[in-house]
Amino acid sequence: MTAPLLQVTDLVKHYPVKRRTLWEPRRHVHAVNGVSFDIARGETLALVGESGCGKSTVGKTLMRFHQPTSGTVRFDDHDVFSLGAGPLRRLRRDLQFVFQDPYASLPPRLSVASILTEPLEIHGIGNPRTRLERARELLNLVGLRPELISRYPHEFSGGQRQRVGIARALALEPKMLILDEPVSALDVSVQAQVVNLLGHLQAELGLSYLFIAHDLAVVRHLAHRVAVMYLGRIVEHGTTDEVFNHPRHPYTQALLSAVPIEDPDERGQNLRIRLEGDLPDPVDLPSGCAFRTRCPIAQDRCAAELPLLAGDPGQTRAACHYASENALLEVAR
Amino acid sequence: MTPSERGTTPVNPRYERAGEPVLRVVDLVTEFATSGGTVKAVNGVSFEVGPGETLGVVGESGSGKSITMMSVLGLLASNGRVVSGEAWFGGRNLVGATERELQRVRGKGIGLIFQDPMTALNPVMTIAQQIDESLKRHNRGMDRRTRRARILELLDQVRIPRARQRADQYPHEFSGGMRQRAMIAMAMANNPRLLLADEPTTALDVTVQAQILDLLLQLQDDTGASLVLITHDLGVIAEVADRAIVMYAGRVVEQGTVADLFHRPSHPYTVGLLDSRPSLANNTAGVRPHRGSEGVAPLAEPGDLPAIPGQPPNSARLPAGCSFRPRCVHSAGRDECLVRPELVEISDGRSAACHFPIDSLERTAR
Repeated sequence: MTAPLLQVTDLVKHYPVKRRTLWEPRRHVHAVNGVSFDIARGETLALVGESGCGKSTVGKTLMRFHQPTSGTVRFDDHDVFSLGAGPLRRLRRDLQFVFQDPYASLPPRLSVASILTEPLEIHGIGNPRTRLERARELLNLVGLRPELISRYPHEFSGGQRQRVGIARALALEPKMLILDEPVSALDVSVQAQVVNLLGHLQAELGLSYLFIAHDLAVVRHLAHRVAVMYLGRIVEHGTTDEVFNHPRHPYTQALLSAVPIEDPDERGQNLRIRLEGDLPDPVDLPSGCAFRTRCPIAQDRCAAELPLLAGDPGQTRAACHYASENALLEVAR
Repeated sequence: MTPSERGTTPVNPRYERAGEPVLRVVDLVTEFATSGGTVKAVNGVSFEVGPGETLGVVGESGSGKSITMMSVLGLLASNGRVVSGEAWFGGRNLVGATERELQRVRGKGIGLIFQDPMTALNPVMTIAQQIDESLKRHNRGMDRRTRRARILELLDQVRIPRARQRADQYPHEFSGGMRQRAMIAMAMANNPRLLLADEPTTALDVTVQAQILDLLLQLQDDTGASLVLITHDLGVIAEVADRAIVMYAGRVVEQGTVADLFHRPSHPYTVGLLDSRPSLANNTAGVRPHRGSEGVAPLAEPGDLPAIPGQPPNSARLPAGCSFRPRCVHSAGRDECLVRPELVEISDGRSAACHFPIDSLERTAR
């Protein structure tokens, strides 16, 4: 087996909470608490979970938009967290980020031509003429007519803007894209177009994706492997088929059973696991398993002992003391 | 021709038997004055909501689904106005009603639930104070003690734990799901006959969404209120609605029972929406071969979702005839589509605005 393109080991990111008084002890939001995964070339790993689970923080820390608290990240044989400014810039040619909101992530005063040629200019690639040529190529690649090159972001619809955002990320021929909820701001009829585009691009360019999303149906459609996060930790990790067909962690089971049905005939047919209560405060995490406060099968052991994501990394793994024992909760789908 | 003469509003026999509709909207037209000219955001919309019924309203952004409801309630922005049409509620036409009359209906006969509870709630008032405002406004004689008891009863009803303490907290002390429960409590305060919920679960996580949908159905069972649920999410419709209308570019393009819409959709747009949804049952990663750099195929490949081509239209520049025509796979070369199709009954309780409605037999199960 060849070495993975991206290898994340024990990533931790804590944010300090602003103190209200000087003598108050310094407290931290535990956004990411030891996350490990890897992504092969041409592979899509989906990071799923609900708001506040830390999935976006993982993506942004990998890009070094935020400084990590601890952990190591290897990308294409570079230690990402020890790179200086120059090498970091070169790294970002290979590792690009696509933002969720196509309205906020494109500069309103730049034409599409400037948006797409800027990364090339910054990295000193080509001359003005070849850069413009490349920009036209990129528009073609993402399914937009090259004539649109002199337009401004406000002249585009949401779906078209997201295509421009993807074209910008592809300008430097990266090896991997970090996609942070790339279709969740789009209308249903347009969402499918962008999902298809991402599939085409991966097939054509051999890209790897870290696909950060909360929409489980889209993840099911696109991802090779899935990592489910809850309060800063991966609670289940495996191939998409395994995780969706045989979820083993009670949180994954609850998450899947909460997805609205696709056909009204299914009403009342599925076993529903309704989680009670809300997400605990990420400043004061529960002891042991962070999910135990809402878990339908929690035992005393869960408060005392942190369950680890144990087992063979090639297999589906669940961070739950009773993962193999809760066949009762096995979700019908 | 007046709308009543035209008589195009089909009525589901089930709800005809069940009694007079709670809300009946006829040929509603709403315009907005913008710098780019007049925009018809709602363009001849008719529908009914039966007693105890849950009507789903599906559509994408800009389809006019929220503006329709705001028009009914007289809550349009200052550049918007209802040009024509009727909205009958409790024997009164709300179109053309005075602000005073509308105020008596909003929060009393009709309860409102918005998408984002953080912006819809007042941040400087406690939850109890906000519910109390609605109680005071619509119940002149009710004393403070009775109102307090009612507030706690409401918070219990929407399953906010420790209601006594939580009643006196501010919205920022609530989680997203709890805030939405508080807003539902506020909407239910005066036992409305109709609840209008505009994307009530869109801002929520999926596990919380499931809780809120359960709660809405439970409350409806308990109180017998009708519910209009506006959403872009077909899954939410499949989950809770009895009947649904599908809106596109300011018009109703299809209406029918939920079973009909999902199993026998007639309008090509409805079919497109249903087909373009990714399914939890299918995984296509790995289906695609690595093709090398021969250019991205514009045509469908194995593993593609059957997406609707093109973009939703700009309501300031609608295409002539059928608004869906430029995106419709059936319209090519058909001159009929240059004439605007009316919403007509196709079979019992089902209607579609299409010159070539899809025969249910043509569509095979997915």
